[in-house]
Amino acid sequence: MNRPHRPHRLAAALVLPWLALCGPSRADDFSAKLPPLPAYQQECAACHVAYPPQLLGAASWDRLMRGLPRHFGTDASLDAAQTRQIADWLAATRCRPPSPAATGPHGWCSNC
Amino acid sequence: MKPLLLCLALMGSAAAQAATPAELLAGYTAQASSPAQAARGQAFFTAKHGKEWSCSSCHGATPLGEGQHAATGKRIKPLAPAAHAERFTDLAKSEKWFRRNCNDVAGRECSPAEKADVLAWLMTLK
Repeated sequence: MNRPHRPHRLAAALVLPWLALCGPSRADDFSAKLPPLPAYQQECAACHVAYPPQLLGAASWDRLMRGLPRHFGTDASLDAAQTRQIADWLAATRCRPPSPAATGPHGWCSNC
Repeated sequence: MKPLLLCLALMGSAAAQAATPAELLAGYTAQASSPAQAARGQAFFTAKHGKEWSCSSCHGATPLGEGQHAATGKRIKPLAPAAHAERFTDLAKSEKWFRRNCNDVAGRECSPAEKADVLAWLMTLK
């Protein structure tokens, strides 16, 4: 089942406001202690931009990583070792809201 | 058995193993236990296999030029080794994209014979 989709428009709608409001200074607070993962950049930017891990909460990333064979209409699967490596890095890097109330309705960080 | 072991060793070793398209073809042919047929590869590449896309839907009917993703329009570098020197020089990468794209096109893994046929045909393109 291959349906047309335009992830880049969705991506822009999600990422640009976040970047404008939160910006690199805020992202540094989350990522300063966590080195970038080359595999994340290599594998997750092969087709689209490598979205900042802080964009999603743990449940969203978990669902996405489990569903890679059905990734927005296409198979984006990785081998088991790489899937585990990237999932672990995302779990360490992703948004950590200070309290449940700081997470928006879609599970995104809204504590910028 | 030895070619299969070599193939498995290549797959099990570090991610970026420089290889040549001919070496990858030899590995797939050994797994298939039959010679590759380029004409059969071209037919496989350009046909639909029960789903909406063929391989050529994204890569083009003669992938010496750029292709584009059938849904997103993203530009895809040429698939033929003669047009893009990096193609089929990394077994792990080759296997990854065969797995993904055969699932998208055919809803299943491609067999070693199908991979060998397609690669043999792509190597004939100049």
